[in-house]
Amino acid sequence: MSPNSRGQANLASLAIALVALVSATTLGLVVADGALANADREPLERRAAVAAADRVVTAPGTTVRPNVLDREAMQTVGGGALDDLAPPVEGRAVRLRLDDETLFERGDPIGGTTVQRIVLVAESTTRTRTVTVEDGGSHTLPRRTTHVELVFATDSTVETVRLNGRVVLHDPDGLRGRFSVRASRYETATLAFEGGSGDVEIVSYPLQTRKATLRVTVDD
Amino acid sequence: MNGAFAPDSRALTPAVGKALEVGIVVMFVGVMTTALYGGVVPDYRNAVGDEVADRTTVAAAERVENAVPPPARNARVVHRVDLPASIRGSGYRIAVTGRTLVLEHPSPEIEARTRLALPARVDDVSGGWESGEDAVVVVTGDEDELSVRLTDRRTVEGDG
Repeated sequence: MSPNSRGQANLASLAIALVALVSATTLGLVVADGALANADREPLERRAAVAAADRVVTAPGTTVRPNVLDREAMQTVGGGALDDLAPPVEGRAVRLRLDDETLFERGDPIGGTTVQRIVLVAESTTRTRTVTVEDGGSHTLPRRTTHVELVFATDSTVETVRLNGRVVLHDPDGLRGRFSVRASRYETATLAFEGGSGDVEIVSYPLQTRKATLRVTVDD
Repeated sequence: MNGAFAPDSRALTPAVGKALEVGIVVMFVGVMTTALYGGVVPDYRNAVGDEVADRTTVAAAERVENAVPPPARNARVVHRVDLPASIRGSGYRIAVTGRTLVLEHPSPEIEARTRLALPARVDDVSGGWESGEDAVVVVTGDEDELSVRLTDRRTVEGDG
């Protein structure tokens, strides 16, 4: 500064002060911007994933009972079905995985939000066994089933079949042919045969379950 | 240096200097205020308001979905829903159109909507909430047909 201009020496410090103020304000705005960006948790995307996972593990169409998925129904779950189950998923990239198997994929969800649910996967199996029964004989099915089919040989003379003590089939002339009997899912079924002997084919439909992890990924 | 700053008028220097300083500071404050309140602050308020609106809608939708009971012959469920008293300083409305929760706000920048994921048993969803009221969701019906109503606590108590 030349001696002539020393009268306005204050202006220089004022300018520095203003520059400092502007920098402080800008810094504040940058910090605020960062805070706002960090606080963005994509609530709608997360909600779509949670809703889809919740509906898949509870809806009667895809489950045997809550948290037990029906293997066959899961095999065919498609985009339309998923959108109907959980409307928030509509129009979003989504992937549905059961353990390592991708059941359904739409779009290409990269990153996004993933929701996991530990579930049981139930698969209906058919067990057929042929036993030769005598009067007073009984047979216990090793696994629970919702119904049992009994096929009596034509020369069978069995008159009565009891399931856990309850008479379910009775014919004084001897049972012949195919019969379907309802059983309880909540107790082990023991079949008792009375009145004669014969060959019986017993078909049961036990539900086999295994643990699995259902993963739903949704990306906007 | 000549003219006003000639040696004769040297006594003016402090006065002119102060006037300059005051002028610059006033201008600076004016520019900063305009920049902040004319653009930056409303933008932030809108952005935050939109975010809050999204979350409010999502939380409300989850409360509505959780209120739906498992199949029962005669169901009546009343769930309280926590809503912020205001978003971006003003009241708002949450309405239901079809199966979608829509947040309506006087500011056009702020709006949020989300579709409800409800079981097929739910037959009808109706009603709405105003911010500031004691919001509840009422689910009534039987195992085949449920009706979901968004209303406030006072109305529910009036029903008995």
